[in-house]
Amino acid sequence: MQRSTRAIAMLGISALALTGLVTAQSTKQIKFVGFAGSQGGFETRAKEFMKTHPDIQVKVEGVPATSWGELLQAITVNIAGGDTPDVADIATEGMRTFAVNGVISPIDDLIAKDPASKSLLADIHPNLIKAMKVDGKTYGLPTVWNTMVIYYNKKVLREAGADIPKEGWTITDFLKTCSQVVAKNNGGKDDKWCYSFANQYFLTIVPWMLRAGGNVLTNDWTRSRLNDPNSIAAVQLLHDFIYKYKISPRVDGGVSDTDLFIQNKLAFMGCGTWCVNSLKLAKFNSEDYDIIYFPKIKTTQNIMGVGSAPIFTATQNRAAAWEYAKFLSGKEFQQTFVVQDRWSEPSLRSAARKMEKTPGFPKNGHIFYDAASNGVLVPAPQEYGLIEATLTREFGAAMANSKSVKDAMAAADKDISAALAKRKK
Amino acid sequence: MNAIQVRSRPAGRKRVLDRSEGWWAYALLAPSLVLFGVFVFAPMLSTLVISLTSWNLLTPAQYVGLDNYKTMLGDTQLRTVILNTLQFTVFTVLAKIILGLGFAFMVWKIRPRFVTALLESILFFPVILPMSIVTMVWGILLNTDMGAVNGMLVSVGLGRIPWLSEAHWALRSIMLLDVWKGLGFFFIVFLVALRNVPRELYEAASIDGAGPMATFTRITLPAISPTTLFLSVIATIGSLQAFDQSYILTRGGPGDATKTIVYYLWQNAFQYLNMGYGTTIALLLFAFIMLVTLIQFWASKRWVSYD
Repeated sequence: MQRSTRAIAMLGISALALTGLVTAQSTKQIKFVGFAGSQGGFETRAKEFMKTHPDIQVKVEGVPATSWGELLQAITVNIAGGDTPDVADIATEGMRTFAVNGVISPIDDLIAKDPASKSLLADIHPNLIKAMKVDGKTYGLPTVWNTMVIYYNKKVLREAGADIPKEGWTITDFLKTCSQVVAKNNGGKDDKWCYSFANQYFLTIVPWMLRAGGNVLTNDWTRSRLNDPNSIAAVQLLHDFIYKYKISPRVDGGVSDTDLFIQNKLAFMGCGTWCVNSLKLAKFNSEDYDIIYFPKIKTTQNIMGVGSAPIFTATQNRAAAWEYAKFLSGKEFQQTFVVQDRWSEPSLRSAARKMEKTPGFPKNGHIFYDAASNGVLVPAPQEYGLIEATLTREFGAAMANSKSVKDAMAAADKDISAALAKRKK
Repeated sequence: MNAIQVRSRPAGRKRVLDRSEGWWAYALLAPSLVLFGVFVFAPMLSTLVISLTSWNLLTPAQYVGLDNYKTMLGDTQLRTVILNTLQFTVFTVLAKIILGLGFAFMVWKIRPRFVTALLESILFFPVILPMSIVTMVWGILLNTDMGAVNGMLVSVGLGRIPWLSEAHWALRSIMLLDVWKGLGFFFIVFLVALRNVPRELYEAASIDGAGPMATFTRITLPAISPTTLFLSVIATIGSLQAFDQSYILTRGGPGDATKTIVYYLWQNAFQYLNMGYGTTIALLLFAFIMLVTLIQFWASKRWVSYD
């Protein structure tokens, strides 16, 4: 009797172990890393994904970061510590760094044999798809993206007796409007500013350089263009906004352009889709502002930064990671999470059009997605961290009058060129 | 090494532990030694090893010998950040010691308990605030064109000061912030030290006819000198490691005006993904802090009194 009881118990334990083994083998676990601020939303959608993919278990890990650069640093440190995700939220600012170091793997083979991904790509602007390529290989499906446009405060313009800017406006129109906005300034607390800007790579420097016909790097991101007269002219123009035209406050901390805009002290600010949310959270009526492209100086090019969910080379579950990456670019996710989140532009055209119709979105909201047609990817090669820090260092010195604009750009050009020269051929 | 020599009373006489006592001593020391080894010695050793490599955190590190040390010798930006850090350290340490002692002496002399308690609270309040929050508030207050400080200056007919937007003002502003934020701690520690000076010393000095200045320089300062040494050492180490003020307030700018050694170290290691060079700067900072601390302790033999 005792022997038979033991035999039954052993059999039971073996069956349980076998069941566990089978379950472990049939359920693929993947880890997704993204911004901590969006963790709740990602977890909700991951649950929906798991309902339709019961064989895949998604663990969402949020990283406290305020920019794509910070997120990249955090993921990099985790990788160095042996904690590599299967899929992660990576933007242009990090994609090439991870791709050239072999941390993420190309997905061309997966796209080729997946008809669903092909139909997704048909709904994505070609320039966004192009942004996913490194050395001819595709490293992700676009999930979200951002560009920079000018937000204009109708009340400030109306009070200054200035016209609402019209599509196709130029830098001459911009300066004329600005002169009207600041005409009554007397150095007091009621002063209005026309345009306020921060020492920021994506938000300020590159958008103006593109409009002036310049850029930080050449199109293939192999050489610096900071000594290009057009690039220098863009930085000089921003310097002139402060000291010559006196239409912008000095580059300083503490008070953001959004703060000034909300207080009706600022006519124009440069921002991406996320400011629609910022203004809504500040209860700033969407009827009191609208958006327009940056004024034309020499070109009408727009900056683009594109997010995606690339698959990490170290993953043990590539097929499951691909399913989840596809889900993040898919219609269901885009038309719910991205549209409701509204911090970035959806990669799917159909989702972007849906978002434009949501309450509180600016009337000209369609220009966000349309900007992709003239979109130029933010220069972010594998030396991005150094390039961004060097340029903002010298830009800051120029705006503080520690150096002339020309000297500052020459110094940035020298350091960035030296960094690019070290690149392994 | 089977026995440990320990001092036992009377002073100067040594007793040799027997074998079993020695093992007990090692056993009791073991937890501390393990913790020190894992959390201090091993990271230091790995820092040294990493400094001999080129490592971007994503691919295996490559041995480069002393290349990072050679780079450091020719790095003009590093010279700038060292100078910034030294200026910051000298000013903030002196200001916190002098002002902390000054305020503590003033409060110590005030008799009404209510006034003393009020001043203690006011001066200590900034210490309990998080540096990140304080820094952000200072950023708003010191904004050149829209800040409250310049608003007040303009309202009384003075011009605007580019607190954070011009290179020569920015470092001074960050020093002021650091002194304001840290002064309360120095004040409280000095106050406690002053209150612990034996009254008999002052009574004896008074009987001997010592004036207020002589009492301060001959009695008070020597009596609190161990406290002054402690505060100057921790203030120096803290200032040499300054990071968050300039990271939040100015991002090291304008230009490199407010960039400190730790900021530059962080930038190289994590922003440029050049961990080899970042750790080389960390070792330089470690060596420098150790040197300064040793000098402080060596010099203290001349002015610190433990009697």
